[in-house]
Amino acid sequence: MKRETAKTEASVPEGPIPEDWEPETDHDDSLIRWMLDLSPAKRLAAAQGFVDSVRIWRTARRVESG
Amino acid sequence: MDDEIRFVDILGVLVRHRVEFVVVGGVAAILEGVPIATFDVDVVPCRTTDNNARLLAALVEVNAQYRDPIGRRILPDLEKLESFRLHLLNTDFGKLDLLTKIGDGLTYDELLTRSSEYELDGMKLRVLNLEVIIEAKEIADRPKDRAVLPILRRTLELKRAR
Repeated sequence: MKRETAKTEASVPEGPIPEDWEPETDHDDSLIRWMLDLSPAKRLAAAQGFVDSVRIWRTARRVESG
Repeated sequence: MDDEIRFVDILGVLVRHRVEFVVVGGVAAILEGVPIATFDVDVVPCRTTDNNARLLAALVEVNAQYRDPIGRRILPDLEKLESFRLHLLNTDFGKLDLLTKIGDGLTYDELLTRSSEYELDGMKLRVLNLEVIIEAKEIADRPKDRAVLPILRRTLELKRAR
């Protein structure tokens, strides 16, 4: 009896392996789509959150080890 | 550089003082759905005498003063609002830039017809359409404009495909 997995593997279309694959555009469409799904108020809140985070990151200091 | 900015608070003061303006620049792009960061609020106010008076009252409330390279304390007044082409201000809520025209010389009245109304936390705002934001960036053609144009254009494509 042939293994079912072999049949399944044979039906997978040819294509680049994920490691070599890159999107056709230079943009992260998922980020744009996520933003477009938000209400205008939430879009601005997201931008506000980013700005607030930047201010916190700027206070971060490198911890010297040893 | 202090990047504190409170987008809703700045816009809220202008709305509460019944200032007529169109939101342009980065905040307009964000409201139109572009995932970018900005650290100021850019608006084009209507330049009538009445509106300038309301605008000045709003600016006084947020302790606006011009961003001066040598640190002088220069406050906005009616004469400056009527004559200056550009007002780069610091306020209690962050940087607020008042522009008289953008892109190919588009003034408030022209921008108004190319904007959409948004309701935000109970405020009604006129926000410049993404197509016009892109046109303005293409005309300005500064490095910072060129850097952001690809994501503006892609967002417009995805919006139109919906």
